[in-house]
Amino acid sequence: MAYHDGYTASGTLVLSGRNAERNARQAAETIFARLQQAGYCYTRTNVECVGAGDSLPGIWPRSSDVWEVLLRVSVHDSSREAVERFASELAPLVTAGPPGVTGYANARPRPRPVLAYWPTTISRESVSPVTIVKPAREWLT
Amino acid sequence: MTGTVRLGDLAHARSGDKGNHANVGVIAYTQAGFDYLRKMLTETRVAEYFLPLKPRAVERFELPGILALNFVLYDILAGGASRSLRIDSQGKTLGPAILEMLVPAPENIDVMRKPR
Repeated sequence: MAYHDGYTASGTLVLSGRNAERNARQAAETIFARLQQAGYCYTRTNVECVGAGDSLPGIWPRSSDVWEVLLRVSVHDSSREAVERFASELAPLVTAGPPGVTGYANARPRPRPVLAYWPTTISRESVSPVTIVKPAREWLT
Repeated sequence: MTGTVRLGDLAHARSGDKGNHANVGVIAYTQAGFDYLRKMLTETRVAEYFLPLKPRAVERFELPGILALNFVLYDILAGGASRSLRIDSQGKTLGPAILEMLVPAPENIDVMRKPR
């Protein structure tokens, strides 16, 4: 069974130079600190420094001499408005964050609805089949 | 027996998702390598290796006809493709990762390596 499970968004920035990974983690903390000040918190968040070993955190060996990382910050929440607010918090880091931030030319991340799956079986008697055909955009309103 | 070798010295691997579970196929290059992996690469060992990703359980399936072991890692994907916030929501990196596991070097390691 598929069901609507809130909204998610992921944003990326490239941080470069000495201490790229440390700066990236600091930048992510700043994003969430600002959101918290504005009264936003999220069901789930994730911060990844791609290039520093975060595609498998705790498994890949860590290296201290990484000169660039792709910072990827993600949130998941039932409130679309909260996810939109998150999406607007990345751009300020380009001008007001550490020097050497780039890779922001793809505009702000766009919130997308999460269609989650619940693999299950339901007894035939509990279900009355109905067929509904309508355009995809109408399913999510 | 001296030292250790990478699992990748005697096998190749590929991984992917099914819902919130992932499977990692480990395919030995040779029969000798498969016999060794069958003894050494236990469910417990694989579960310990991937502990940072918190799999709920690990189950091993043997495919001797193709010299392969298939490991199913339950609930390891932080939600699976539709819900996970990880960049690797499909568990594709688990295959390359398991090849970096260090295992005790068997005496006949030379016959287990990838044939030229």
